[in-house]
Amino acid sequence: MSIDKIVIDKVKEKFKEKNQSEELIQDIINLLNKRDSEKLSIEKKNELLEKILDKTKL
Amino acid sequence: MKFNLLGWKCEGLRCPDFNFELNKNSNALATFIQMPNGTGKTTTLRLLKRSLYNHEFKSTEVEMYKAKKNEFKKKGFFQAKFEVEGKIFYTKINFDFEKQDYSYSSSISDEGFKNNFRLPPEIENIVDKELIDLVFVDLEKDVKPMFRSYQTGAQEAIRKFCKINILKNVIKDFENFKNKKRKENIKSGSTKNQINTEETRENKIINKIAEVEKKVKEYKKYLHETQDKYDQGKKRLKEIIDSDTQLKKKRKELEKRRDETKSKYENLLIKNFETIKNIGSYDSTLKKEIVDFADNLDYLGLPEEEVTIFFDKILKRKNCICGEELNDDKKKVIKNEMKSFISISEARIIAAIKAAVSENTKEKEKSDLSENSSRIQDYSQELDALEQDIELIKDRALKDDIELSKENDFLQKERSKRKKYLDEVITQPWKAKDTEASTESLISLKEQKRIVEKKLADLSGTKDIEEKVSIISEILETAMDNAENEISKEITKECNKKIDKMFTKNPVFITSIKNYIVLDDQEEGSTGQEARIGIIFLLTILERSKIKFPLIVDTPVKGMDSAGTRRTARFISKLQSQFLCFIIDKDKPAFTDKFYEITDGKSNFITAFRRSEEFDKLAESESSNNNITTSYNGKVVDGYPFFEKFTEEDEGEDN
Repeated sequence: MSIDKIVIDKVKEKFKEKNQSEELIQDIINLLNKRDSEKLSIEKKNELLEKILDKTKL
Repeated sequence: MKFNLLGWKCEGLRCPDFNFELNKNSNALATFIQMPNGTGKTTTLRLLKRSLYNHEFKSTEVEMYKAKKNEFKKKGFFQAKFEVEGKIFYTKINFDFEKQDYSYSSSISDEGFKNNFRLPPEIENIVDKELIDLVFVDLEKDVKPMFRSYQTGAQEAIRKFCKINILKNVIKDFENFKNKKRKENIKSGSTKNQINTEETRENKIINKIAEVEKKVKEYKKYLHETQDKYDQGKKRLKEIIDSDTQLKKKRKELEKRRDETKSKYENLLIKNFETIKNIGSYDSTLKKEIVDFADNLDYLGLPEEEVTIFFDKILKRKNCICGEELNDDKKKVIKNEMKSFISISEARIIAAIKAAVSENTKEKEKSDLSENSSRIQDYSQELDALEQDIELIKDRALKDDIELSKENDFLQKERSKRKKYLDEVITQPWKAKDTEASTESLISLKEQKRIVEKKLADLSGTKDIEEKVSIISEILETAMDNAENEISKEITKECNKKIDKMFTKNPVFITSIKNYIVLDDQEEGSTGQEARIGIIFLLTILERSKIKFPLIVDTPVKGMDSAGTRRTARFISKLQSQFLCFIIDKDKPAFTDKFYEITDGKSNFITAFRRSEEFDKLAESESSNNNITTSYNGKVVDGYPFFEKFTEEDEGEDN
């Protein structure tokens, strides 16, 4: 993982502030790491995005 | 992840044919390449950069790499060898000087060279032109954008190395996903037509945003490219003007008078504005209208007391003022209507209006607008006359340098125009009447895009997804801003610690890094200061980054004193990433010898030169202690004894 720790911490903090679930936060972090370390296919990317949107609270 | 440069080979180019192998000494902490001026340091650095992204060479650029007359060859190449995570890969730029053409070939696996530009999957998402321009640097030129307002070099470096940009990419992913869902949901019939209309508008807005962003980039580039010329011209003009003491004295006097008049003029303008705000000072139709309005309030019999009397009088009459007979029913209606005609609170407001009008009309005697106006005119004329006198003195002083003066005036106008665009035009707030054709404000265009997207979401029934994407994007954007600020603060702190250790005299500290590096109490540093701080910034950011990129630097210690040079050597020795720099023999004292001493010689010390009788003899005399690679016109000598001994013949222009 090569994303700066502060970036990850801020993402966690801001999602928590907006009352989003821990599960969603983890999915977002996983997406960021995958996006950073591998070339995701469009299908795989869309699958991950859909999963995140399902868990997003309005 | 570790990414290293292992060497490069070039043939048929304007620099001699060289073959550099950097991994002969696998424990090397750094590589110092000593090349005399004119041997091709700049060419090499440029081609190393071009080896890591798919550069489009124009025919004029191809021509630039062509060997000089007696060494001319129809074809040439530059081949670089890299290593990522232990795997070796090559990229090669092939030049055809007859056709003024080029092509890339690359080898990223055991299959050998293929005719295209490719990078290994480990780095293909990370490495691009912007990143390479940051880590393969000519300290004299490339660090400047990090210190200039209107430039964002430092901010871009932080975003790249700390991977803040990933958040931006993820926001884009969500945007694309949302658009995909919208397209899937498009219905037929009139809704489809509406969607088509909105989509056309959205595309227009997107195109306009791209157009404005391109203009912003061009304007920033212009400001950067003209900065030095403008500053130097301004400085030179000032020197010329100040050199004539008589004229200088006169100009100073005039400037003093001008400043005094300007101050009086501005104060009077403010005073006049305050006076104008009092309606009583209007000696015009407007004043008459306001006074009439207040009188009419009286005439109408308002407020309440007068209203009551007015209606009482009517009620006592036999006939109404319209001529009709007032029977009991009509009188009842009038009584009811009278109550609702005016309330006490309304009466208070009206009374306040009347009082204000009455009070302000009395102000007339106190302020005389005509007198103010006449004094303003006088000051304005005096100011113009003084400005003209100052200009005349300048013209007299610059009579022999009119071209320079004109050129600088032109630059000033052009630069102001662009600065205004960057400061004011693109930051205008959104207005409801704005269209993509009527504005160049990025804020307005982005808001227009958001509104169209909302309409599209409503029309296509993807409102739920739209809102969720909006929530996620907003959170990620806030996280991005916050992270960037915090990282910038940490990097600033870390850089200042290094500056404190590295600068012996008059250290210049960093105040903040937001878009660009802001130095304490000064607009910008000298070239030497900026080079030193630039290298500190790059070293700090590389230390922080988890990807170990090579840092390749031309002229790393130029403009530094011996103490600063020694300290730079110490910093570099602690760097975990690969470090390679190009130097000339003048840079060696207190730098490479210090580095050799503190690292016990654990580095590559390479000397490359165009062959000559003198250099060949020198190389032969040291051949037992050094590794030598020879071509018909160049030699690469690997080893400290020769590196230390080598001295340039004379100083020429570097290419």
